[in-house]
Amino acid sequence: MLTSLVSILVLGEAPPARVVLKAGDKAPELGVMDTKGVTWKLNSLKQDKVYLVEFWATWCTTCKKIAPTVEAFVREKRGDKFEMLAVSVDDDLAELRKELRTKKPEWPVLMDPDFSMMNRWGVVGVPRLFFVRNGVILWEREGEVSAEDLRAAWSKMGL
Amino acid sequence: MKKFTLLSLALLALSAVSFADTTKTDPETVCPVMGNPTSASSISVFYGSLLVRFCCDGCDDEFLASPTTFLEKAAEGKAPVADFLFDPVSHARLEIADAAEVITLRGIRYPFASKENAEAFREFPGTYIAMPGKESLKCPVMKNTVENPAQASGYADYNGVRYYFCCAGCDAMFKAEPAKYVAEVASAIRPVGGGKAPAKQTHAMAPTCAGCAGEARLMTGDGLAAKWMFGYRYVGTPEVAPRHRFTLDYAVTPRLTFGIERSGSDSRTHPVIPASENFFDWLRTSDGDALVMPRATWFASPQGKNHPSVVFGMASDRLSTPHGQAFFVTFAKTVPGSSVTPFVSVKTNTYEGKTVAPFGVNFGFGNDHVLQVINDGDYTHWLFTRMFDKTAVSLLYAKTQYWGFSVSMGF
Repeated sequence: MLTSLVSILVLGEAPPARVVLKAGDKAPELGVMDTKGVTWKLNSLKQDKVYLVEFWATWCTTCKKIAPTVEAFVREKRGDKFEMLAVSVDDDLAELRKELRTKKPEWPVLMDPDFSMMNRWGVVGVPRLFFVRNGVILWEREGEVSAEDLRAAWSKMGL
Repeated sequence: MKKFTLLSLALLALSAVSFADTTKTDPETVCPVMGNPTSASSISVFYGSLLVRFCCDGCDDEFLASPTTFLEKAAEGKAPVADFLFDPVSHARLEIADAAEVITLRGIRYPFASKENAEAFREFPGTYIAMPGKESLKCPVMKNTVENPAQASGYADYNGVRYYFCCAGCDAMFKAEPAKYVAEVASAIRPVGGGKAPAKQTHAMAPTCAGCAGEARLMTGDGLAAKWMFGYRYVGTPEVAPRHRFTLDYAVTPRLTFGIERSGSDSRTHPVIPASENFFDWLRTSDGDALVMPRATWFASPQGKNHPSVVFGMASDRLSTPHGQAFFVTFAKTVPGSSVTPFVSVKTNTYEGKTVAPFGVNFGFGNDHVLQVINDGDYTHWLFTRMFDKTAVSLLYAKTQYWGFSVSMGF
């Protein structure tokens, strides 16, 4: 509220309303590059395949905390029907490279150093996770997540 | 017969030069709009940290209307459509031709100063090539504005903005305290490819030296195409002085060059300016009997939408300046929507104090060929030139009477 008031006073106009994505909403565009240099778009995603889109950062302690759980889940389910898309919101790409050398992720790591995808997806904090299929949000979660949460979501999606 | 043989040998030699140049330095990018091959003399634009070349006039406007669409399309193709202007690992300005290694990735060529940098790039290329959507051509450290990214010494990305630096050393200062520097250049931040129209960089044979008939000099929109330029001209005149002419220029900045020239083959002349003479007196009164003469060119202004290019210079070409030193200013302006560039000069020289008004026209054919017709105040000369990246070779018909050729090489 205070931010809105300040924005109205300073800028003379209300800030754009924050996007809050829920299950059933259309997924916004990806529009960012991965660490191999490939630009990802929604239409790059395979038909009927489920993607776990996780916004994270190297400096995020909660991300580190849930990483073993998420990674174990992804390794178990990855295949023709499911893939992980890790979206790094690090603006220091040298730090990201260090992390990647250690973690050696098997899935695509997308980069959003100027937070353009983050803004489109209404993400204000990390970690933030979404299950997406055919351009539609199936499930979303902000903050910590457990193996049970992921399995429950998986079942709820009928997978 | 002797003249014919000499000319044939010279043309054979030129063919060899052309071939070597083509394989070493000619761009290998294709037009992102039409897919046709391009050359260094093609119309080109800066888009972010990229230099993009086009095959035809109009392709540049089409590209700029939807750059990401064309770059994404190019990413799927085999041939590169653009050159990255920096070593993406060190962020320092680097030409493709000067790179220790070049990697083509998704339609773009990236130059590397060392094999180690190329190796680092291969590990996570995307982390080096992601381009922010905004940029500032105003150096956040020195507050100087670079004309385009090719004039920058390097860059750094901070908070979604790419900042270009004017000088070496600015990057280290910026990285130490980025927040301190960015505030003062906030007003210079613009969207990549938006705001002010990106600078066009057109290689062309400059109608620069009205005192130098038969001299093709390659230049970009920003000045000379190379740091050093060597030139040789042969023309089969009965007079000895203009027959052989050697020039060597050094670009102090891309727009300001100093050099020397040696004309004639008369053994009676001094090898250099006589040491006993005051340089300025000599310059003023010389009858041209020194073998090595100074020359200089200042590209004061490239042509704009509503004004011609302006070039000042001095030279001592013996074809159009029989003795002494010539001083000239040349104005040139391309006819909009055409490849025709008329130019007019005012030239005066120390030989009889004669002042004349040379004039002429450059006719462009395709991207690489130019026919120049120039009247130097006394005679008309014809020059047909094939341009490469940093080399030009020309066939000369001097005084509409004598055949010759010239070659100009940048390095």
